[in-house]
Amino acid sequence: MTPFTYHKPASVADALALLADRPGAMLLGGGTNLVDLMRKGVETPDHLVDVQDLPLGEISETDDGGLRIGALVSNTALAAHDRVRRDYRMLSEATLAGASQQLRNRATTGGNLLQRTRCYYFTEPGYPCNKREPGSGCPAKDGFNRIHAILGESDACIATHPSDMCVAMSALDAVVEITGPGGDRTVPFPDFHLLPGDTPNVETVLEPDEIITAVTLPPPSDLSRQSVYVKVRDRQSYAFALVSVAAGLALGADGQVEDVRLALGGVAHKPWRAFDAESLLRGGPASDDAFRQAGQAIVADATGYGHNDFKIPLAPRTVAVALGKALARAQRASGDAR
Amino acid sequence: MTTTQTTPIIGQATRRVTGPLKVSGQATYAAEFSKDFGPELAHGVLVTTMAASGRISSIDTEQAEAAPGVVKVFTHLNAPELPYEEPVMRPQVQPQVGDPLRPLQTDQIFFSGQTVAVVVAETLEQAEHAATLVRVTVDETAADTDLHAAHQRPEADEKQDTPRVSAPKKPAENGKMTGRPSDVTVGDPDAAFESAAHTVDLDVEIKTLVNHPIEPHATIAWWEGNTLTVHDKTQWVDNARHKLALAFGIRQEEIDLKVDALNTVKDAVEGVLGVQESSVRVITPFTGGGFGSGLRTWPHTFLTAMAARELDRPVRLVLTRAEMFTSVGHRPHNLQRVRLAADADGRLQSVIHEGWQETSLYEEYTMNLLNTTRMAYATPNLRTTYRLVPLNIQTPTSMRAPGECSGAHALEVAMDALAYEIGMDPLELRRRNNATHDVQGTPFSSKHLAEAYDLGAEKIGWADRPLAPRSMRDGDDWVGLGVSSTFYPANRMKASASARLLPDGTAQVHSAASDMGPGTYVSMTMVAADTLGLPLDKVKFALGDSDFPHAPVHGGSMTMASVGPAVKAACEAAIQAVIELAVDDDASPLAGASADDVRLEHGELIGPGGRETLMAAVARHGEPVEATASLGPNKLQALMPSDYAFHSYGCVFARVRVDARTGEPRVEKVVAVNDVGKVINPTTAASQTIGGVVMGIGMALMEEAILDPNFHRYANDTLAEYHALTNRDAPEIEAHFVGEPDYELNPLGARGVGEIATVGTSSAVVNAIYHATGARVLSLPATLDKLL
Amino acid sequence: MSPPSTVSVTITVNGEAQRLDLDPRASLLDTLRLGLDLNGTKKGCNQGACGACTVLLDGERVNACLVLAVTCDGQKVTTVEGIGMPDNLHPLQDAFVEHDGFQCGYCTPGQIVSGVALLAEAASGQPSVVDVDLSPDSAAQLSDEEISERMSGNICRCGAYPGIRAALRQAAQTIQPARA
Repeated sequence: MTPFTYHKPASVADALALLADRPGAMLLGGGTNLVDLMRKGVETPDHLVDVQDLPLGEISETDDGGLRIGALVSNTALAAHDRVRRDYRMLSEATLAGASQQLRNRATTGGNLLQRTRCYYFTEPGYPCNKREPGSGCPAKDGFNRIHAILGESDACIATHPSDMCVAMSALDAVVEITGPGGDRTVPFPDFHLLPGDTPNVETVLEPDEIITAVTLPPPSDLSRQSVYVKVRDRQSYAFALVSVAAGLALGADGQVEDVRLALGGVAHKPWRAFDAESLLRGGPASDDAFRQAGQAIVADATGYGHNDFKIPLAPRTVAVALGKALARAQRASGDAR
Repeated sequence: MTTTQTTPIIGQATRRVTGPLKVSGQATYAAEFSKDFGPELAHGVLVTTMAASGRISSIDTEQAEAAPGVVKVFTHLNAPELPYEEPVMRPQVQPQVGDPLRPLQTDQIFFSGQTVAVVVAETLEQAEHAATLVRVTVDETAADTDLHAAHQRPEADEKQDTPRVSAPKKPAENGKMTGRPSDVTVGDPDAAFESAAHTVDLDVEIKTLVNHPIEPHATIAWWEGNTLTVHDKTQWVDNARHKLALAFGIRQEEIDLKVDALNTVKDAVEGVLGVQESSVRVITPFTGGGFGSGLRTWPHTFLTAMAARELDRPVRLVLTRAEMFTSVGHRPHNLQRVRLAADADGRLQSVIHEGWQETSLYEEYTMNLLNTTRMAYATPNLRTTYRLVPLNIQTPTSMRAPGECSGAHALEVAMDALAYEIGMDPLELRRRNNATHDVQGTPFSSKHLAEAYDLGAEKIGWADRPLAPRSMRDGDDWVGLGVSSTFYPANRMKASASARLLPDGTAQVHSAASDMGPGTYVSMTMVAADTLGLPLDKVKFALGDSDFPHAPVHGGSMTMASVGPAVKAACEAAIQAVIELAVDDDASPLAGASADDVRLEHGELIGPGGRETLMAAVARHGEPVEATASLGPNKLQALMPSDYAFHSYGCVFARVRVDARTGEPRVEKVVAVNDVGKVINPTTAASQTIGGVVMGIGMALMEEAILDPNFHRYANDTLAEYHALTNRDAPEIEAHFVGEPDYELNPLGARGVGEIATVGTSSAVVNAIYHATGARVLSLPATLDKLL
Repeated sequence: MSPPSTVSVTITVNGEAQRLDLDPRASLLDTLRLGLDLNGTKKGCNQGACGACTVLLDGERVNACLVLAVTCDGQKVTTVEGIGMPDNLHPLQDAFVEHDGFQCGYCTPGQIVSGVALLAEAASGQPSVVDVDLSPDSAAQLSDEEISERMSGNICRCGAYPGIRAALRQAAQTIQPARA
């Protein structure tokens, strides 16, 4: 690891001041991603700002009945929170599907939003990588790309975002709260992460001198209560998603799809919110056929790079599995209600 | 009153004597002897190259040397030239052809990940940082890591200057079954194949697998004058000592005598060089796994000792997990073509098995890829052809059942395919071709495979299985059952042990063996206690010190079969020494008896005129009574003339589920039944079997080190992306044993468990996947993309 | 380049306050092993992918390799040495020996610490992905699937998983861990 100075501010204002005063400073949350990347030489901050003492570790109710999750809330605390489990089930499932208990205990909500890709070529500094060194090239395209993107990728980068939690947050229409020298602002979750384009080194709308303070969930609904997260991977635990799907359904009185949320992980540079497929489903039948068609629509313009070609058929199948489970939950809930 | 043991110990399920140390973290592994040193201990970190081929054109260490805490940066430009002598006859663990990699002695780059510098600093953090500051420039030449393309090239002839496909240059003598002959032909396999009623012809691929013990390889080395002491993660302290002595030109009588005992190089005794006072000692009481990665002594060990000598202070060096992919060997990528032919009744008529396996550009690593095929089933016609393909990779090494595991996988998948071609139950096909001797006509020493089939079939519920694939569905899953036979040669080599009986009623037994997990500590303690008639807690067995009596390599499943008899013999010799003392001692009830008339029973010496306990006699003597024994063949048993072919046998049954929608495969249950001769400790034998099955499932479903085709480097070189099984992936596993003691092999009748436990699981799993889904996965691992 | 200045922290390790002057780059893992000679905590991958370095940090299991020691100022660390030593083993350690839940022993301390934490987590009703509805009452009857999922952050290359599950099953029924 490259030497750095260590700072441990007690307030958000102090942390912002440290970021403003020290170019090359980075925020350290749980460290589950950053420490690894520093050890590999992928990240070489001159200054490390340890945010653990900042008062951002609470989950609280919002005025409208939603939840405000502080940026330092651990994955474990988030997933175990009674209201998350009850009202935003897909978020609890997604978070618990990620990593291991040891990592979830350390990993923070804010850090999860900012975690870097698992692309092999990004995490080993010996390779060229447009994300690490803009303009150096992307060896993944004609290299080994089994874990890489099929949607929204660019000539410069085909990396995927590795988070499970973020997939659910995108589907739940969460809002990211940010503070910076210019004050506070909010960003809808689906807009927080960026597609790679020509600047894969810029992954989110967060500026270097800003801090994520919280993620807010809108008030719960039947849809969010009956939602589901399905993760497909190479081993049954402790592995990143090849394809994952966060799905929620609300049924109308006629059994048709009244409302739906759908987001995919493992397929793109960001959690892939499938707005078009949602529109396709809304008002239509809640059937396996409809679910498969919606899944097919998502990958209609997908591109494979060889090793990841299988994600193109796998994604719609996983969408159908997830929507099927969400449907079963919705039907069980309406059955219970009767 | 001394305590004796009146009930048998061998064969009883017994807890590990190391258990309390291991569960409390107090077992000391190589790197952890850091606690014996203060700040004098310096930390070494390797610098490795990205480039996969070429020569180092420049190496800039200026920045690294200026970094805080750096003691020295060693490169090929400033490292001392070391003798690196090679033994006249190399140990089996080392390739017989080619020269080992000697980093910092050359500017040549053979593969990506090769060590090009060692940074030594006061602290680990300083060394790690400084290592990132070394700038290496390589004048690159084209590298080749494409086995698929390379194996199709014409075979080598003597005049070629570029490496080509070739048969091993030094096949084992006399073409014995368990040696490494390249080609064997029996009968007319081609004609028999052409005319047979049923045939299959399969191309099978097994990708690179990496041993990945959870303990990374590590070395601490220090010199006191000309004396080198090393803590090194190894499965063979004696060989590590030998190789270090040769590397540094240290030869002295004592080492050469030990070499003589190894019988690897008698000639060396005549070439005594170096300083008489100098010596090398390797001390490794605990080895955190290895599965073959600790058989050889690898470059980092020599480099650590070199740095310690140059700096005149102890140096510690631990490989990173990424370095574990390219520094300590791997199971080589291989391609196999299997052709099987059977008559209408399912009797094999022809077996043609060809294998192409990668090796490095500087050494010819060979493994027993096709040996199983030459003994597994009865067939009148057979051909095996084994070819090596040199590529820009490190030299592969043995990984748990090297060769057999890969070769048997292909054979057993082909047997499954043949059964379906015939329309016959795959288990019945195996029963029908069960052999009594190998293809060269040598009978097996003791074989109970048929019983294993019966027991396994009963435990997994084989009889209820419909033959047709894709015929069992449960909810969203296809369900399937698969079977594979397992085989592994039983081996043995000369081993020695000492037994020291103390007046306090306890015994100390020593051998320079290793325990990377199978339970050598407990099983040898059991053998000694059983022989001496003492309770387990009165016997202290120690291993992992090259000053102890010689032991062969802790590999090839031969520790129990080799060291066990030596321990037994040493204890018997010590008993004999006590008898000699007692019959000469007027105070003994045995006084005046002929030593020949005294026997030991349940810890008691019984003579014609009286009896006393063994340890009472020792106590009265007042001095320790010590004896050593050495026995076993000088070379691998398999290479010795014998009336028998020695093997272990068994079968694995697997039940799998494959998600019909996502293709995710999951193993639900495995039953492994093995005939391994006498089982010394059922507890640890079962654990070894279960562990082997777990590794086999990994091979079947997820393990694969992937070479980037352009950079020739393993892309997924982390444990996050190279998937070993997690607890969640490990199914219910039953381990059963059948058979009887194999006294033709050794006086304990034990044949060893470690390797056969891994053989067959991968084939049983992919055969079960075929039964579940109808998809015949020929290229491992069987990841979900192959099952969609 | 100026040498990285050390940072003084106090970390309570197994109940004993340790005053340490740390290179900020030093991991908690290396600090335990090299700084405090507590080698029970193992280094397997140094990147959070194997679990051999699992310790309790303020009562929660974490991968010590990914924790910078400087960040632990004022915190409590429990290593396997603090769980039980050979002459005074924790019931879970006994259960590991009884069920042969290990072979080489290198991943074992991490498994033990992880298992001790698992029992507390389950008792406090923390869910796993197997069942997000898990209630504290059902914790003592953890299914094999629950145990294996909750232990999946600890890789055992010797493949002792069935023995590890058996040890955890036994411990879950015999130990009444303090509610986390």
